[in-house]
Amino acid sequence: MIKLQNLNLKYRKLNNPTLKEMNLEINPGEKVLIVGPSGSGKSTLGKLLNGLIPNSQTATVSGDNSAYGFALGKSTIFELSTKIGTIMQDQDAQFVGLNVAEDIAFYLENLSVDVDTMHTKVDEVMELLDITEIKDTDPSRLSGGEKQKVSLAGVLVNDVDCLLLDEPLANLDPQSAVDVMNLISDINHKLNKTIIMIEHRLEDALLINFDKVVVIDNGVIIANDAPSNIMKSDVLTNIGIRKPLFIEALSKANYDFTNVANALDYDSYDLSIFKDNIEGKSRDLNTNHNLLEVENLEFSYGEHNVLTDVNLNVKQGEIVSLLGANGTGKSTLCNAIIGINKDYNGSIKLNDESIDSLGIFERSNLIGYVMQNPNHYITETVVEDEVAFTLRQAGINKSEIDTKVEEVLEACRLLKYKKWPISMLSYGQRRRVTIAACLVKNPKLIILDEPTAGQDFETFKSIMDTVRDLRDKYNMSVLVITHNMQLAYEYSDRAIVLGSGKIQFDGKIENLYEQTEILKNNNLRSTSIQRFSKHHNISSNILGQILIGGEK
Amino acid sequence: MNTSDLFFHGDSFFHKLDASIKLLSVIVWTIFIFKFQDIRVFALFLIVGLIMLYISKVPAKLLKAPFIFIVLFTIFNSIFLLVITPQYGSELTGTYTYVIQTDHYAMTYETVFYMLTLSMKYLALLPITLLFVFTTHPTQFASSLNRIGVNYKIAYSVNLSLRYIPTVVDEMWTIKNALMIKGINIDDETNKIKKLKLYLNLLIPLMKNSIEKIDTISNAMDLRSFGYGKKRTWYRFEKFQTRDYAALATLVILMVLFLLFFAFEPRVFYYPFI
Amino acid sequence: MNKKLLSTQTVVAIGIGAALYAALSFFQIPVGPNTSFRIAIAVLAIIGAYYGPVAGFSVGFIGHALNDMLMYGSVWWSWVFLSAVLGGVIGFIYLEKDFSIKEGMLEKKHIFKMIVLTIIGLLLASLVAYIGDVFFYGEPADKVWIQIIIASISNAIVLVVLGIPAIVLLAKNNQKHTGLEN
Ligand SMILES: Nc1ncnc2c1ncn2[C@@H]1O[C@H](COP(=O)(O)OP(=O)(O)OP(=O)(O)O)[C@@H](O)[C@H]1O
Ligand SMILES: Nc1ncnc2c1ncn2[C@@H]1O[C@H](COP(=O)(O)OP(=O)(O)OP(=O)(O)O)[C@@H](O)[C@H]1O
Ligand SMILES: [Mg+2]
Ligand SMILES: [Mg+2]
Repeated sequence: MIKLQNLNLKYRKLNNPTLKEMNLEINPGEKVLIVGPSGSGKSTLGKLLNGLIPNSQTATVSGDNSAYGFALGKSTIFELSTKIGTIMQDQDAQFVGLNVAEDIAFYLENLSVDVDTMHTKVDEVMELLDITEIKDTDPSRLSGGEKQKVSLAGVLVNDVDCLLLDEPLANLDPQSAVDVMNLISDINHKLNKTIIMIEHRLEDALLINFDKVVVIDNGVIIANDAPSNIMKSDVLTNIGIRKPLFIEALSKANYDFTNVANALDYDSYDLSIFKDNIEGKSRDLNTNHNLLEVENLEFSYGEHNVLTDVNLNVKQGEIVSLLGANGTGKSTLCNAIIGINKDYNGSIKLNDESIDSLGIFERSNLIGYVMQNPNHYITETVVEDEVAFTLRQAGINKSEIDTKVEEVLEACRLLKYKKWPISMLSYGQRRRVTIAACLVKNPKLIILDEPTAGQDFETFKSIMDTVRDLRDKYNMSVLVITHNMQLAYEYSDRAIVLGSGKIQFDGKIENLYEQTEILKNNNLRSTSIQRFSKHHNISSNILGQILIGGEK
Repeated sequence: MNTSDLFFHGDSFFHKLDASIKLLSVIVWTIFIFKFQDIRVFALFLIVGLIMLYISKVPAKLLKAPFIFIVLFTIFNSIFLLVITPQYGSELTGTYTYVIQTDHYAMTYETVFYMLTLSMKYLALLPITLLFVFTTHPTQFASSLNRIGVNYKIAYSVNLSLRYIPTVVDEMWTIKNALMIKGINIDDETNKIKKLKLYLNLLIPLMKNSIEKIDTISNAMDLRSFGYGKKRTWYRFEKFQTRDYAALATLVILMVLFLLFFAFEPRVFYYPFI
Repeated sequence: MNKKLLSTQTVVAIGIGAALYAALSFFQIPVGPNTSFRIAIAVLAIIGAYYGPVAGFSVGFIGHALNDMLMYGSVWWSWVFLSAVLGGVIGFIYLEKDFSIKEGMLEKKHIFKMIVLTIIGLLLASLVAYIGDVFFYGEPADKVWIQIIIASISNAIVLVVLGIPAIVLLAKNNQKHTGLEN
C-alpha cells in the first residue's frame, strides 16, 4: 500500500518544487495509470517511489509519505526495491547482462543467492513470460517487445508487490505495444501485483482496464478517478493530452457523454446520429511527378539480408509514411537512400536522375535526413550555430546565412530560441533544431526517422505541424518513418509498409486498415477509430475526418 | 561487431575448463615468460601452446589474424631494435662477434640472437591468450576475474564494457555518418593536426550520449541492488570439476617449482655460441 | 550522492569508458613509423576528469587490455599500465573542489592544472612503461626510451588538441545559463 500525504518535492538545483501538495493512495493489486504532459513530474514521482530520489538524485521531500511501510524520501533504494520493481523507458540501458538469462539473474546475483536456487528461479520466470527460447540471446538480437519482456522478468525474479513502469511502450511497434499491455494485465491478474504505469500512449495503454487514472499537471494531481470518468471529463483536453482517438473524435462531434456508462467500452455508445457518410477530403497527388524513385533495392549487413527487393516512390509535395515492425529495415532503407549504406544493389533516382554515384554529403544537399536520435547529430552548443553549421562550412557570406537561418528557425517555430544553448532545450525542441539544420540546404525531400517516439501530444503536434507547414511552404516531399498509425492517418497522403525486405503495401492508409492480414503480418494495428467504427458498422472515415477537421 | 562473435563454440577440454583456471593459466604462463630470456624456454612454451590450441579445435582461420599480427609486429620491432641498439646483445654476453662493422654502425651476432630470442618470447606469449579468448564465453570473463580475487565491482565493469562495446561502436558510426551529412569528412582531411581537431566533432556528441547512458545504466543497476553486499554470486558460476582441480593442481605445482628454482635467480640471456 | 570509492556510477563509467576506449581505438592517425595519434587517449582524460582518478585508471587498464585482447590476441602489459597511469593522474583534477564538468564549473586555472597533470601523467606513465618493457619484456633500454618519448609526444598532442578542449566544451555545455527569456 502506497500513501502520499501532502507530498512536496523540490530538486536541489531548482528554485521551485516539482511536486506540490500531492495526496494519493494506491491499494494492493490496483492498476494505476499516471498521465500528464512532458515535464509535469511523472518520472519524478516514480523516482521517489523507487528511492532514486533522494538516494541518487538530491531533492528535499516533505509530507507524510510511505510505501509498503517504508518512509519515502528516507528509505534506501534497496529497501524499496524489495517491494517495488521498476522498469524504465530506456530498454537498452536496462539490459546490463550479456544475454537474457544472465540479465534476468542480475538482482539475484547481487543478493548473493546461491547458484542453484538462482537457476531455478530464473527458469521459472522465463517460463512464466514465455521467453525460455531466447535465454541465450544477446541484447542486440532481441526485438523491442522481447527486451521489454526481459526487463519484466528481471523484476519478477524478485518477488515484489508492485511494478512501476515508466513509459514501457515508447519505441514499440503497435502490435508489440499491445502484447506488452496484455502481459502486464496478466501479471496483475495472475500474480496480483500492483501496477503503476506512466505512459503517453493512452490509445494503447487504455486497452487494459485500469482501476484509476491519475492526471498530473505541473506537479499537481489535478484528477484521480476511474478511467471512464476521466475520459468523459475535460481534464485531459485542457492540458493538451489526447484521449484515445475514438473518444477524441466523438468529443469533436459534440457527442453527449452524460449517458455513457463506460467511456472505454464501445458498446456504451449509440451511433445512430452518424448515419450519413462524410466524404474525406484527402489530397490526391497521383498526378504529381515522382521526386524519389527507388527500384529493386537490395541491401544486406554481411550475411544478413535486410532488404531484398524494395520499390517505392515519393511524389513532389507528398508526405509518405513508412510503416513496419521493429527491426524490419526501415532505418536501413533510409540509410541507403541517404548514402550511409552505400553498398546496395538497385537504383535510387531523385527528379529522374540517378544518385547512386553520389556520396553522403552530396546527397545530403538534396535530401535532408533527420536521424532517430537528435543527440547523435548535434555538435554545436548554441541553436543558431547548429543550424548555420553547414552553411558556414560552405563559406557562404554572413548576411545570407543570417537570413536563411532566421527563415528556417521561424518555420520550425524556434526563432525565440536562436541564442539558446541546446542543452536547455527539450527533446522535441532538439528534434526541431535538427530539422531546421537540414532545411537550410533547401532539400527537395526530407526523411524523418521516428520523429515523435516517446513524445507527448503537444510535442508530437508541434513537430508534425512544423513538417506539414514546411511541405506547404516549400512544396517539399516528406518520408516519415513511424510506428504511430494515427500520425500516418492524420499527416500523410500515403502509407507504405515494409516487411520481410519488400514493400507489403503501398496506398491510402484508409485502405490499409481493411487489410487485416497485412496489418497482422507486419505488427501493425488500426487505431481505436477504426476498431470502434467497425464495431458500430460505420465508415471509419467519418470519425477520422471529424478528428482531423476534414483536412490533411 | 558483437563481442560474443569472437568466442568459438566448442566442447574441447579447454572449453569445459573453468574460466578462472584459464585466466590463472594466462597469469602463470606470463610470469614464466617474463622471468626468462632463453629461446629454449620460449620454444617449449610455444610448442606446448600450439598443441593446446590444436586440442581446443579452434579453427586456424580464427587464429590466423592474431598470428600474422604478432609476426609483423616482431619483424618491425626487430628492425627497430637492430637499428637503435645494434650491440645490445653483446653488452649482455660480453662478447662481440660482428656481423657488420663500419664507422657509424656495428651490429653483432649476439644482438641478432637476442632479437630472435625476443621475437620468440612474443610468439610464446600469444597461444595462451588466444586459448582464453576463443574458448571462454564472454559471459564468463567477469565472473572468472572475480573468482581469482578481483573486486566484483571492477569485474562487473569488464562485463559492462563487453556488453556495451557493440552499442558504442554503432553509436560511433552513426555519429560519424551524421558528420558526413553535415559535410565534415574526417577521412578526407590530410593535415594531421586539423584531422585531430575534427575528431572533436565526433567525440563531443559521443561523450554526451555516453555520459547520459552512464547515468541511466547506473540507476537501473542501483534499482536492482547492485553493490548491495560485500560479495555477489554469478549466474555463470559452475562448481569445480575434477578437471578443474587437476588443472589447478598443475598450476600450483608449476608455481611452487618456479618459486623454488627460478624466482630468485637473476634473469640471464641464453647465448649458445660463446 | 554516493561518495563510496566505487559507487555504481563509477563502476558503470569504467565499463562504458573502457568500451569507448576500445571502440575509438579504431581511429588512429599515423604520424610516423610505429606511431600514431590515438583518439582513444582523449577518453582517458575525459572520463578521469568527469569521474575521478580511480575511473581514469581503470578505464585505461581495462580498455587497453580488452582492446589488445580482442583486436590483436596479445596484451602488451607495460603499455596497458601506461594508459592506466595516464588516465589516473589526469583524473586528479576531479578532486579540485571548484572543478566539476557535471556542474559546468571550470576556470582558466583548471586548464593550466590539467596541462600540468598531463605532463606529470605522461612522465609517470613513461616510467611505468619503461620498467615494464625493460625489466619484464627485456627490451633494450635505449630503444625503449625512444619509443616512449615518441609515444608520449603524440599522446601529449592528442591530449592538448583533443582531450582538454573536449573537457572544456563538455563543461561549457553543462554551464547554468541565466537570463534567457522564454
Ligand atoms: N535530477 C533533476 N534535477 C533537477 N531537475 C530535474 C531533475 N529531473 C527532472 N527535473 C525537472 O523536473 C521536472 C519534471 O521532470 P519529470 O522527468 O518528472 O517529467 P515527466 O513528467 O516524467 O516528463 P516526460 O513525460 O517528458 O518524461 C522537469 O522540469 C525536469 O526538468
Ligand atoms: N549496423 C548494422 N549491422 C548489422 N545489422 C544491423 C545494423 N543495423 C541494423 N541491423 C539489423 O538490420 C535489421 C533492420 O534494422 P533497422 O534498424 O533498419 O530496423 P527498423 O525497421 O528501423 O526498426 P525500428 O522500428 O526498431 O527502428 C535488424 O535486424 C537489425 O538488427
Ligand atoms: Mg518521464
Ligand atoms: Mg529504425
